Amino acid sequence: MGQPASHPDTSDESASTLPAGYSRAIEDWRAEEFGRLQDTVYLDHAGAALYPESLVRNHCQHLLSGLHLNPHSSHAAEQAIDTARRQLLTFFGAASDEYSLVFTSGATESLRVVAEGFAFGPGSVFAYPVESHTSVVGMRQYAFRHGARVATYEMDRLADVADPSYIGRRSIEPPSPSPSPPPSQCPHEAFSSAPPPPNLLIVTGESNFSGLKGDLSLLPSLMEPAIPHHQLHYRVLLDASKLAASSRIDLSRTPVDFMVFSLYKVFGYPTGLGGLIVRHSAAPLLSPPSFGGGTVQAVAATSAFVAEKAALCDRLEAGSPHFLGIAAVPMAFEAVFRRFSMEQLEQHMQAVTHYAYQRMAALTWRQGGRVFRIFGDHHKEDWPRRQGPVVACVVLSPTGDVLPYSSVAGKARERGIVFRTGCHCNTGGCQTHLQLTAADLERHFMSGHVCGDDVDTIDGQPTGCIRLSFGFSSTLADVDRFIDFIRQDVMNEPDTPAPAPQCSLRQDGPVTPPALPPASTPSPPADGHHAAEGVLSSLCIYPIKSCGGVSLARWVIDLRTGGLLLDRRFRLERTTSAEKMPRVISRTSEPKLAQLRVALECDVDRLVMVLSFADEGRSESSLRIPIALRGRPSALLSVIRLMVHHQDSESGTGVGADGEGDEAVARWFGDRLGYGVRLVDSEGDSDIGGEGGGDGRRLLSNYANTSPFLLVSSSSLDHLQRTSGLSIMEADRFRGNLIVSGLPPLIENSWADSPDIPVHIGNLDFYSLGSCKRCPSINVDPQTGTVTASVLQSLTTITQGMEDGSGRKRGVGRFGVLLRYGSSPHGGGDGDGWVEMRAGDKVVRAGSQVDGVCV
Amino acid sequence: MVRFPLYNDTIRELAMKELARFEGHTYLDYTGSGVYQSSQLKAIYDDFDTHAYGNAHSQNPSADLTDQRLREARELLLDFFNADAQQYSVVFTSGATGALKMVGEDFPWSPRSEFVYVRVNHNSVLGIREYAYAAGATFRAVSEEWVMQTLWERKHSAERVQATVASQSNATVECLFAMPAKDNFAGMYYPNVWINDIQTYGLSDECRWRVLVDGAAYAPTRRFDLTEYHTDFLAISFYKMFGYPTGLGALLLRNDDARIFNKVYWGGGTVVAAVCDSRWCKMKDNPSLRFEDGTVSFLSVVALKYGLDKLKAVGMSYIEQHVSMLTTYLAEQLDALTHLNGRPVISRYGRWGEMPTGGIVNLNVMKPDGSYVSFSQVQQEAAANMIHLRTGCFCNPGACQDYLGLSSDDIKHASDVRESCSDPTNPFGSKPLGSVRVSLGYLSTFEDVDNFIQFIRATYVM
Repeated sequence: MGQPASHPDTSDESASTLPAGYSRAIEDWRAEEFGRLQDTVYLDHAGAALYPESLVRNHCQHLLSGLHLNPHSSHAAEQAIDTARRQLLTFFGAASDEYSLVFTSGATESLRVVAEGFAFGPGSVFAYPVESHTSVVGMRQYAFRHGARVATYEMDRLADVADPSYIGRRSIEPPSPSPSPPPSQCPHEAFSSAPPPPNLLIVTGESNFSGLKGDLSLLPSLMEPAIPHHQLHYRVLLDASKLAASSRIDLSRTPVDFMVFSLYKVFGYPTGLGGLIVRHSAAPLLSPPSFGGGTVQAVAATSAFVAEKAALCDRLEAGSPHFLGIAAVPMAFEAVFRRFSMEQLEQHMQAVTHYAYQRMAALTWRQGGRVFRIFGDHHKEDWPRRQGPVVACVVLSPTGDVLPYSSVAGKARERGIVFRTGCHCNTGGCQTHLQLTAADLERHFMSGHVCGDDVDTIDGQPTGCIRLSFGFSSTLADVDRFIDFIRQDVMNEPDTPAPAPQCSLRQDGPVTPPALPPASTPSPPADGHHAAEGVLSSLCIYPIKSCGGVSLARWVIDLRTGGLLLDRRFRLERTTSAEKMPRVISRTSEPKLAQLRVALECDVDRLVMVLSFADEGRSESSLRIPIALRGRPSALLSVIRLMVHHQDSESGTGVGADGEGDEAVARWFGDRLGYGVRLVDSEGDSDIGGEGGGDGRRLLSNYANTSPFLLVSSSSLDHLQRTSGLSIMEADRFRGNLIVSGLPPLIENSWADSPDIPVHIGNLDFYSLGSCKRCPSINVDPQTGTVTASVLQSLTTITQGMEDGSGRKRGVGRFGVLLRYGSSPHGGGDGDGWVEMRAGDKVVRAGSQVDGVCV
Repeated sequence: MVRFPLYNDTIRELAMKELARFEGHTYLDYTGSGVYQSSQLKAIYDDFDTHAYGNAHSQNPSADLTDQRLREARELLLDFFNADAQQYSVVFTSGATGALKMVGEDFPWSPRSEFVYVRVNHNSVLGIREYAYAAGATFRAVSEEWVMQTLWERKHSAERVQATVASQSNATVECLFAMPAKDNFAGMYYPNVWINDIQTYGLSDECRWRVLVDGAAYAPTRRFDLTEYHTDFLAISFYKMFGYPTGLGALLLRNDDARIFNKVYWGGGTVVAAVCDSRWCKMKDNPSLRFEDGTVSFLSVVALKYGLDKLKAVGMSYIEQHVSMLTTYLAEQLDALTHLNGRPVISRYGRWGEMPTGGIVNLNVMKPDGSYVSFSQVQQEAAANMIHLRTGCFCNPGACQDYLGLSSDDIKHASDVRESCSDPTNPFGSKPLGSVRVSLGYLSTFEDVDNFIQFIRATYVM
């Protein structure tokens, strides 16, 4: 347990319950600065980032406290613009003696300025990735106009653009009879020693479609005049519109000739402002053909005379700049980077993205197929290098067809979940990932599809995708809301009741989630021939055998054990030998264990089990035991972190002795029970699986990959209470894992007889292992430890009475049904994954074909 | 005050309340930039604080909200300029310059096209000639007199009327005439009636003539009525009208003109569909969407309504009268100033014999010996008195040339030693290369004007 302090993450990564890089501080920031979102789940950061509210407030204050005049008139305003310029250059690692920043109305305008002014000529190559924004594709109009060769390349084949034969194969036909005449070129010039016209290469920093990142490390070799002379070399334009919002860009390490970006994509504010960063050595290649206010040094109205200003910015910035917007730049830096560094934000966004990817990839239909087809390189080992904070996907039906994205988007809209659908102005991305040909796109258009409409599939082919994009204000909870939405509205799982129901029902009465009809509603007649339907009202796990349970609204099935994660993983053993006492401590041998409360909570970065005795209360006297989750995917930790987070607000006290180490545990229990105790972790020693527990559970050592779930029906409990007259018959006494309401009373007993008919809970299938035979441990009051012998007797009487009628042999009292998770009947398929369950899942069992089963 | 019966304290009270940040300053550069009211800005930021606006290209609730605001803003603008939504579209741009540039780039130039512009146009209009020139078309700078003369001739040569009207509808060559509705140099209004006349009679027989109006300087002081003067293109900047937002302007264009445009570049949301690796692409039909490359500055568009509200609250016709009255008062007071030797202090530029009414008084200050005080000195001394005004040529070289009597050669010569048209370096000694522009707006007051007159009197009268 004790880790070397120097490697907190690598030595035992499973101790961390948050995805690496995820920042809790950002959750607080989100609450402070993005309150206007209210319940909206905003997953369209690639469309526009969200500004922190203090940014607009400070900007407003600033604008109200000064004059802020047109910089053409005011020196102070000019200085403010220079400040912003320097700040942005520094942010991008661009030395001001090597680069200049030209303010534009946005990345699109920046691209256009380059395209319009670039010294294309016959023989130039203009190459851009297939997966480009249309604003990049639009640049080719200028290239064609000047007789340049236009070619596309696949993003992952960036290295090949130096190869003339690759470019040759990837060239686009020049316009048929061109409306624009090729520029007149003097024959002598063509054969003179003048350098050939330059080539321009567009590199997408990060695709706005899939989040795939360009490999900037290849650029130096593409920019240098090639050693073998037949290789092409380029002037490089980095389209950083998307990348700038998600990664640190350092032009001092990866120099480029031009870089374009939009500020609203980075900070959310101001809109209508972007930049073009130009390397001074590339500046002579740009000549603006037009001019406006401020860009010229002198111009004569009556002759063609124009003298452009020498400074690049002055030359290229047409009209009065967006000077009030530019004044917001320092405030944007302040609002965001005062709190977090770009590296922190980047890691945070990556963590959220990868968490989303893992959760989405884990979703399967009951029939077995994946719910999402996800594009990009999220699955690769080195995903952080390859992927930005975007998950592009299509939703598949259980049969594997693509579901129309607009129906998904329409439902999401009702839930306040915001994401982008379609091609996001990146038709190349659509073409690449959806495997559409140019002919397909034209055909789609002919069928009436226009970008942004609701036509999402044509002839069963998707015309676009769903894009989730994350930003610095995204949290894991956003992802959870999205997954919940998919499960409920797309996979049609039922709604979750809002609060997590409790295992202990003493104060609350029978489990009745708000979404259900009241318990007094007459149940349909119990009839084994008909389908029975109920709702999972809570999930309970008992991390330590015989000790208190933890109630959860959501939890996961651990596919390594086949049972609920952590359920009965620990047991208590005596270390002081005592005669006639079993080694494993159970409730029957130590009633005081019933008073032992177990809670789960999260420290900064690990899952912790908190033990306390009911009579002491949860305080400094509680024992905190960190739980390692070895061998599970790291995302599982973040999944359960949120579930634990939702579990019980009371548990988040974070106080108590840190119980690392066996000695602390022994001391703690010793003080309270009066004898030596050790806590045994079944994952710590391999032979625990076959041991009989003290609470009447049949352990299934013959099912290597399965462990039982105990389903307890609350209407059966009601029935028991009424017929026995014992109000103390409650769910926690029976230590069920799956508490179900809404079923006809005692119908679950009939399930034991037909183990082949699955019980569906949510999308998962379970199979019966028989009903649960009860032992004296149910006589122990789970709250007080008081023993009431009549409980088992009553139960036995009641259930035997019923069984008599059906000709069964008499025996012990039964209550509840044991189930095994049966989605992967052959076992081992998804050996180390997990499956989620949640309160609110529908519990359905098909009508039994077995006749003669009575209730 | 008797001479200004319409004057009341409304504006003064408004200015005191809403322009607290100008306390101690005299702002006389409305043509450089309009001013925003405090309550205008607060309302905008309240809006930003309470609404989550998304990129309008997306289809989701926050994008829908943005989309709705964009639509409302377009409607408000069409209404403000009294344009029929059936006939006109609003294309948002990064400013009037962006709007003019769009016309230049996308206009269907041919080698037989002609681009005719009034000399006093802003640089941004002159930039259009580069596009015309690149397409082989010719361009010509003309004077007001030339336009009036030509139109008079074409209207009154009876036998031509039928022919020109016919040729206007049949001509295949597209020609463009550009005029400012009000120039930014001397603040003179230009006859809007030219617009309809040129559309009807043309400036030559060979062309179908279309009219581009630069409304950037005009819109802040007078309402342009697109139903009465149905120009083909109207370019405006919003910060000139109500100070905020910057970086946003619009081109109002007739839908039938939109159809003839040759759109060169496309990007962002302007295309319906484009194929990456072939040349196929399809533009959107709706002019507003078709010409807005990239993502519109949507937060700025959201802010428009609050600015328009401020102008409407005062009323454009009242604004026009208020500005006109103050301008006339300023000009009269300046004209009356004399040195002790009786020589005038101010040399004022404008149309001969016409009192300015458009909010601008353009001038140079003269010493008792008749020589000029350099405009940069005036600027510095005004600044020391917290008076904000603009000096130089105001990016309007034609007006500078005409009013200051500079030849094209003078300008070329001066450019060798000067960095910009407002650079105070003067290689000619006595001949001014620029001037001082005092400009007024809807929140200007008599106090502002008196402060300036007092400054001139105290500093230069001797």
